[in-house]
Amino acid sequence: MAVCVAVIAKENYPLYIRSVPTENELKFHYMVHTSLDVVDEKISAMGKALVDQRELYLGLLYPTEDYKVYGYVTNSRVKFVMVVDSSNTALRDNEIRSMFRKLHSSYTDVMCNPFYNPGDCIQSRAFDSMVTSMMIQVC
Amino acid sequence: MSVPDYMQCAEDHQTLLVVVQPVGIISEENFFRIYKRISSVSQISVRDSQRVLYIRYRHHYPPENNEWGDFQTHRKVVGLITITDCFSAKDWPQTFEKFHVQKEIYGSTLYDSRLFVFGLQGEITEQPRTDVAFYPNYEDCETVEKRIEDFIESLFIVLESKRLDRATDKSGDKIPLLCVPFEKKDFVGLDTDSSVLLGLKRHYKKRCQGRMRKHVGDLCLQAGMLQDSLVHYHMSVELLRSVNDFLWLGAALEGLCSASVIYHYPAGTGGKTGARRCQGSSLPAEAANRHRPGAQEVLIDPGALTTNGINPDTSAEIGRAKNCLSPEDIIDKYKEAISYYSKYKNAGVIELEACVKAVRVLAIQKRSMEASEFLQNAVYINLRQLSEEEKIQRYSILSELYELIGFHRKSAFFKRVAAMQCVAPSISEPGWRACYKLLLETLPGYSLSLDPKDFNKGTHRGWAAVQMRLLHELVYASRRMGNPALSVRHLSFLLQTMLDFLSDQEKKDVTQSLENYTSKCPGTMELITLPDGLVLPPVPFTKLPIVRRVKLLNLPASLRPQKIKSLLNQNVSTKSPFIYSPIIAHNRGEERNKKIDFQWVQGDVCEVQLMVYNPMPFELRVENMGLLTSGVEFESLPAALSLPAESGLYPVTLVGVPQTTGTITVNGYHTTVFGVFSDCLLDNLPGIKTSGSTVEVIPALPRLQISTSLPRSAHSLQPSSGDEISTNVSVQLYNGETQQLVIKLENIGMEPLEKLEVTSKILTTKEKLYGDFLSWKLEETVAQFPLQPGKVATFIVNIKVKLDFSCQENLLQDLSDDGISVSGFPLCSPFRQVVRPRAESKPVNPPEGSKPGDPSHVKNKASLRHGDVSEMGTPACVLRASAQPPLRKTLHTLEAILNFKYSGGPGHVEGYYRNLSLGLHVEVEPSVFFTRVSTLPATSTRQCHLLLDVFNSTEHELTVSARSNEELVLHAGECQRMAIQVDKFNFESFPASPGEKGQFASSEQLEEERQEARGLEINSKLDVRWRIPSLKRTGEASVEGLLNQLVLEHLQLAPLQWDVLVDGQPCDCEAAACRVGDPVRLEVRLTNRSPRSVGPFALTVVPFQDHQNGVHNYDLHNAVSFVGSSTFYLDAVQPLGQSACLGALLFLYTGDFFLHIRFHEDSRSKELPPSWFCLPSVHVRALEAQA
Repeated sequence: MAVCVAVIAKENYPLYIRSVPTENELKFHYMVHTSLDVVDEKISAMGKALVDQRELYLGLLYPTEDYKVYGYVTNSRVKFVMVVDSSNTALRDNEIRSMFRKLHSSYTDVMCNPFYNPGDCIQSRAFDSMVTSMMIQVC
Repeated sequence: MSVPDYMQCAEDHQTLLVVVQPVGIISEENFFRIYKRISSVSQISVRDSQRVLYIRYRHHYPPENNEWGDFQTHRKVVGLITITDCFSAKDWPQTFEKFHVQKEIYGSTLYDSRLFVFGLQGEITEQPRTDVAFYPNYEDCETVEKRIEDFIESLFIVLESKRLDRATDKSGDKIPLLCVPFEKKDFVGLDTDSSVLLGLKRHYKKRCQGRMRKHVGDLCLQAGMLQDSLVHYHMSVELLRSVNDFLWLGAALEGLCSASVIYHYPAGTGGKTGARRCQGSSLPAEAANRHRPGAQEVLIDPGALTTNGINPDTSAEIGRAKNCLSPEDIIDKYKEAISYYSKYKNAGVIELEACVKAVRVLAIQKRSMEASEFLQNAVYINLRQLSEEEKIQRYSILSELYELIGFHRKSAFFKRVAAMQCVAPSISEPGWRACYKLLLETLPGYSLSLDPKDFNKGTHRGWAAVQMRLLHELVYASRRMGNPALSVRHLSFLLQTMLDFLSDQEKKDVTQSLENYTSKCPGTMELITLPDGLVLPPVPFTKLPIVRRVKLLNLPASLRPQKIKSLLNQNVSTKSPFIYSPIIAHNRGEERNKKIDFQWVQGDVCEVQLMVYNPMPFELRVENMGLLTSGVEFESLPAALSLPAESGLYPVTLVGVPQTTGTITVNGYHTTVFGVFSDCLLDNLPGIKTSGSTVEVIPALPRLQISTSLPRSAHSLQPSSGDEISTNVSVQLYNGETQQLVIKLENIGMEPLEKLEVTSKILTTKEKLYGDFLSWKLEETVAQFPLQPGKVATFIVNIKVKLDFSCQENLLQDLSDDGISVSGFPLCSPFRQVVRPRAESKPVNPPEGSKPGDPSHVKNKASLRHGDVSEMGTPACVLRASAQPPLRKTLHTLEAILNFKYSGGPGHVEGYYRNLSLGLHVEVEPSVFFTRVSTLPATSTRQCHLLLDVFNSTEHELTVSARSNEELVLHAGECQRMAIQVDKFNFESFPASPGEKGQFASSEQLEEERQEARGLEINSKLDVRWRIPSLKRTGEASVEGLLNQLVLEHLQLAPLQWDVLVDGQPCDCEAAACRVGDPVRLEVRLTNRSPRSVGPFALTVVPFQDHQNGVHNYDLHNAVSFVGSSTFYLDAVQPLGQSACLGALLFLYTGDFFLHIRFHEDSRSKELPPSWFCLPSVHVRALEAQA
């Protein structure tokens, strides 16, 4: 269902980005990159809210003709961006939310790896397979 | 209307549109000069009122846009200014005609027009005309501004009259229907008067009213009556909403928004115009005041409101700021307006412009999210087929707007799209320059700087894929622009910074194209400055290859300069009275960190080792790789290298020659890779290991090269005590051989060699070495100094090997079972303890004679004695050894180092010298061995025979000689006995110097020393030499090592010297003659040389006859008779004393008689060694009595 999943560091560089192989990868790079503007904007708007009340899910960042871009931000300002096909109407907000939550927990697992340096690209196989499962599902 | 004006902003609604156009031939420069002056008059305060008029100038305006003038009056061209050149009166009519033609184009909407004529002089100019102004030239036209002001005032008069005319239109029911161009055909044939349906008619009327209200609102806004316009817009919205006239409803709403924006944001929303408006802007409160008069004007004419059928209720709201929309409402209304516009395909431009205006407002309100929604919408507004230029414009403006709301990434994205549009394949003349410029502008959006220094901080973190794409595009654009230097720079940057992200194939492709570019334009280290001021810093290839470690190498040991240690320590110069102070020590430590504590020498090749790594998947050719240094003039000798693909760490040595002295710092290195020159500074390299990069260069020193007469050896000496040997020579010598080593010293440096010192060091060896191993005379060589460069001096060293000639222990063991006692093994041998007692148990005591009960002894001794006797006088007696011992051929090696300390030139003045070491490796083959050493008493007690069993361990025939006597020939592996007659030694005379060394040396050492000295003495007397005739080699053999205490004792003159005198003649070796019947006087004399008194002794003379067949006949009572007693008594003899006793013998028969003088058992002092009682045996030949 997801066509592209990206994890972006606090400093706005990609830690992980993967898209369906059939499509032009660069297109998604551009898409995720530009979506960061919206993410930044949403985060700065949200900044005043109390930390514990903060909603991590940012919702739809922006729709394009073919895709919808969703965002999610952790408390440590690591961003998850997911691009889904607009034609897939089965996906509701709730599904997207749960997908992000899954992504978040998997990311937490990656961070728990003592051999992982925060800030490095994510090369975890477990994370990879989880993302793969999210991309194949329902499609 | 098809051409959108992306620059529009909300406050443009209050402006009057004036078109300024050239007519005829007029240079662009002149036109724009005037245009600029005209457009400076953009704001006019109208006389007699506080209203302000805003003018918008355009030099180009599509007439079809003008057709929308009724819809929104600010789109209507109300003024035309024409600028023209005219130099002669003849042309004037023509010019004027052109002006009229120009007027026709916008004729329907123009309020007024002006013609500015430049260059014309004469009578025509005299005519006063309002619509034409004459100026002699472009410089002399101060009144242009004034003219424009007048012109604008005239425009205002028309506008005001129109406004009043429309607002107070008394035409009642007959309000004309205002239409937009595409509506016109819809209303054709619609008879509004005779419409059948009353409802339709009312509907139509309302529509007319609503549209007119909106129009009046526009006019009010333009005329500077903001509050009035708000009222009108509100009414219009009400009216139009009721009749679902959506397009105009949208326009009314937008008007409302515009007016509100103008009210709220007097500084303007369009960035560019903002500055211009500043002068007119003031606080909102003030602005409200300013506009109030306009509102009052409406109040003056209340009938205008009522007569038009407008709800009088609205008048209650007049003058209240409530009419004005709140900032939030503005956005809502904009949204609404845009949603109405979007219902009409033909109103796309209006919708687009509304979006842009809304975004500008939102940007001011800092509501980026909503602004982005408007922009998102604007992106999807589909206008008719746009030209490429329009597309570029559209994308650029989108990019600008995104930038405005802080969406830098989005902005960069659109800018890039615009750039790509510039060079779209459909364009016949691609604008590479524009494309490149736009691409450069996108760099910040992709957080990419073109300074490679920003990438030195650890791993690159960014959107590599996107950035790489952008760099590729920059490269391509710059290439197409025809600026290869620029594309080389960009491509180098791409390769340097994105190396980690390039795939193998991409790496190949990029380097391939880089090489193609650099073949035309090599990459340099210079800054590239672009026309717009952007500076592209140079890109050094610090990753091609990657340098991991930089190490300055010391000079090779033979060239390393050393400081002559002076008594004045350098610490003295630190001006501290303390020998040691922690502060000074600390400082020195710091200095040491920076500076490497070795020196380089001026004029000598110095090396720096780099550990490099090739990250590329193919072979990397690095050319012209050299050092970058500072501090000292340095001639770098560049190297070219070729690194294999994905090489591991690879050592590369860069060399150079310092030309002056001082402190040199290695700052970095330069390379040429793929045709790009790079200067890589060490400071900028990440993750580099360096052990300091500063070193001192000392003045030049000479260089010495050594060549020897001996072959070089591959065998290197064990590096003991840190000596590094430059040359090794080896030689094979037989033990005892002497060889001359000729050393040629060549000065291969540039400085004269002035000083030379030679020392030698023998590496510790287990072997005991006798004599001087190496000896030389330096004086002859030094006489040739100073040695100029290129000159050669010779130096001769004598190598003499003299190892132990005693046989090895295993050999000894084999031979020791032999009857003869064996001696001559090394003193330190553990075997000694075993052998000693045996040697003592079988004391060699030849003078004592053998006891009859010891047959083996008897046999051996007898045969010896026999030979001895038979060949009396010959020094050597030969005994072929019965057994050939299986000798292992063991090689001994001797190693020594010759050190040449030399100096000269300026370096010598500074107190430096160089040390060159020559390693000498000598393999010593055994030549001869002395397997056994023993002594035999000679006939004289003053002499003795030294018996040496000589074993030839070589594979050649060998001759041995001693004391220049005849030679003994030994075949290979043969062992022969050699007897040398030697005078006994009086050792007491020389070694006794215990006083000197007694304090230091233990008695054992003393004893050893003494023994050595004795050995030396003996050896010099013996002078044993060997010769191998087949090899023509000669040498000495030394017995020093094999003389033991026992042998030495035998060789020593006994302290008790016994002399036997027969007939007063000393009888030692020769037979004394006497006559039968005559008594023979026999005197035994004792001289005591020992330090103590000896005696008394009793001696018995026993005569016997030797039958020469092993039988001694002692039964001679009938043949010999004693005169007196046969026993002598000697009194005790004091040291240095002498004593004698006399007797006589009478021989009764002729014959050879021997006298054996024997001590009485009890009289011999047990404490004295037996060799002290060595009396010569007396041989008396009794002859026939002479008758």
